[in-house]
Amino acid sequence: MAEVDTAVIKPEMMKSYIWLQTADGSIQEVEQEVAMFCPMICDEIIQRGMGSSKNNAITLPQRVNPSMLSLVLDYCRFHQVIGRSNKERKSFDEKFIRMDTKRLCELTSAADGLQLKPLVDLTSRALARMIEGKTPEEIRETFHLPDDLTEEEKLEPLKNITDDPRIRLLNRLYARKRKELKERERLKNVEVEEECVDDRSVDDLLSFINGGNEDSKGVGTSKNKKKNRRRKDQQKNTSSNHAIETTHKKESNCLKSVHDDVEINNNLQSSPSERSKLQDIQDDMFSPQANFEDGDIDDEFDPAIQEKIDREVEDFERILNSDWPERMLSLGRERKPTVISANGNGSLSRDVSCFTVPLLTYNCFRFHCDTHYC
Amino acid sequence: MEETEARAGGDLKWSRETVPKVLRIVGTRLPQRDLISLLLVSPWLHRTLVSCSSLWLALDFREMNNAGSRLVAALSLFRYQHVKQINLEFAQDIEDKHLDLLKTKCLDSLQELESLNLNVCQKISDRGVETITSACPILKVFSIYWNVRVTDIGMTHLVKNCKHIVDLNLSGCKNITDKSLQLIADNYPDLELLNLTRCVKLTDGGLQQILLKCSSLQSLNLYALSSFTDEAYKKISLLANLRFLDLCGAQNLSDQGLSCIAKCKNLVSLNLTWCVRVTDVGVIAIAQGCTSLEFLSLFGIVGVTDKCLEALSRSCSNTIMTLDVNGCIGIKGRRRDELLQYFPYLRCFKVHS
Repeated sequence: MAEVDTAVIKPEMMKSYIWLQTADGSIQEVEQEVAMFCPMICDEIIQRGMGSSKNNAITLPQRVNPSMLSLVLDYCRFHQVIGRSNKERKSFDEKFIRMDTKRLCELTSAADGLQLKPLVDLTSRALARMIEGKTPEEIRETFHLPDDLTEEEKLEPLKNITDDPRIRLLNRLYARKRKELKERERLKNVEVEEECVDDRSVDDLLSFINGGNEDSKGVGTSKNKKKNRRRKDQQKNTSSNHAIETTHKKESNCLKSVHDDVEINNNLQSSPSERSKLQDIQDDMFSPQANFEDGDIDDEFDPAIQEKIDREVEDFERILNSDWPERMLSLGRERKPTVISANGNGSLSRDVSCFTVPLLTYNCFRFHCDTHYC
Repeated sequence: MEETEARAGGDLKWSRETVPKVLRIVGTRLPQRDLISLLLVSPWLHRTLVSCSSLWLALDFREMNNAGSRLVAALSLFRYQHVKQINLEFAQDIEDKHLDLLKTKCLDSLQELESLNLNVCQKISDRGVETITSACPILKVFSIYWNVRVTDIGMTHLVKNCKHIVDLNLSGCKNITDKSLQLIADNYPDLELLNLTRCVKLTDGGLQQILLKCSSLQSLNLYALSSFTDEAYKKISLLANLRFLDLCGAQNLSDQGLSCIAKCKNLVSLNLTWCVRVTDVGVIAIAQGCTSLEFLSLFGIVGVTDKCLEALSRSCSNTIMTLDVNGCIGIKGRRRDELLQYFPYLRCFKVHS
């Protein structure tokens, strides 16, 4: 008589294991029921038949390193047991998330990669509690984020997912500026560097770009030592400003003003020193760093535009350098709400207006100008 | 040397990739103020957060001054182009002219707005209502409580411009008349929540229109409206989906009216504070009809006795969690422990103050 069913098969012996591989290449064996608690792993096993052996181990997302995996599995191992009470689970969770900020962030990332929503919720809520009520400076401390940016960091191209023409133009400015920085670095080693002099003041440029109907007093006023030079230059450039003022009546948004400026620039002449920069611009255009479309190339060949862009970039740099510490300081205090108040006849008057701030201050101002409404 | 380089590289990755991505996940759980603080922490964070559109679907200007200007400024920002919810409750300095400005400058950003809270924005008038409703075609939730400038004219514009309202709060809009109720009844057959607290000009005629035509109503608030009579109250039975009903101050409500209301089987919350004509008969009818009742106030009703408590206990003992019988001098057994005998899950013993 074959008593096949008299053999008692213990549950532990039937436990199956699956194989997981982390980004560092190491492979480990994990109880299947525990690992299946993660939807991502579940999918891999069921839909793609992976994980049954060392050879077809499930490759986990890169952000799941071995130590994070171990934590996630601890969580899964506890919670996948059905009989536990809500109180038990809550108590476990409270103890579980007691870790330093760095690990908490890594754990959030890992849980997200494994699509383990309850753990993502748990860790995110903990992180949210750490952020609530803090100033940007305090948040930087909590997450060990650097405060000062290098020139280069400030000029990294922005991702232009929506193909915003303003961002395209801004990235072009950045590329130009980065090139200039590199050039300066090179020259530093060769000779004593002479400060690049930009004759135009911030105010001039702003009124230039915005069509001259701006009270640009409030924009980008910095307390740097170049103030005196600015006053002198204002007289120099008044004539060109007048020409622009008459052509720009309407207030325009950022994009519009740039396009308008392109037309206006035909009146300007480029200086010989700008020609070499023109070459650089052409190089930049075809470099992989800048993101813009072919349709814009025509703009770049106009030397007058080069000059304008160069000046914008110079000024942009100055603003970044001079205003940054001040602006960041003022953020600790109560920010006065902005900016836009309609006067009697319906037109707008501005002190500092967010959406007409031209490209050159886009980056600098975006941090606080576009948060002033709060 | 390599080690410091590696660490520097790791630091860069930390601050530019890891933290921004993690905080993007966290961002959905943060209130507006903290989200803005995050924007100011670093450009990497700024970029990552701004590009995540799901973080920027709500604008909260509650209790803020200069709200009108702030609103225009915010809606001019690219990241709020898909905003779904704007809350201006108790905000100051918001007037019709700001809404005009919004319509001319930020029309695109208003196209996806689903919820607008103008509670206590007392400077907004019918004209402001006209302007803003004409800019928000898919508005579903509209709340403008405590605004005495809004009249039937404002409502005319609302029903003309916004065809998808499901939640309407006109609490405290004292100048609303039956005409508005007629407009609402004719235009919003799918209305689910309606709050008419203190709209004292309303009469039976208007309310009946609502009860006849807004059959999807789940929540009806008639707090402090003492001029309705059974003529209208009886028709509440038509609201098969009704879950929340507030009849505080309904001094004309009789047992007959209440017995009709008892036909709303899904009632979960019923406020009968100061419904002084009600007796055991009406409450027993409710007990028999509304077996899912969780919240009940009989505050100030002297005509009910322990009998109604017994009846309630027979059918709703498992569900009742809030019961206010303060001032019900007809009920003898009103001590906390006695009430807990009837209703073991009772947590809250006081509703009306």
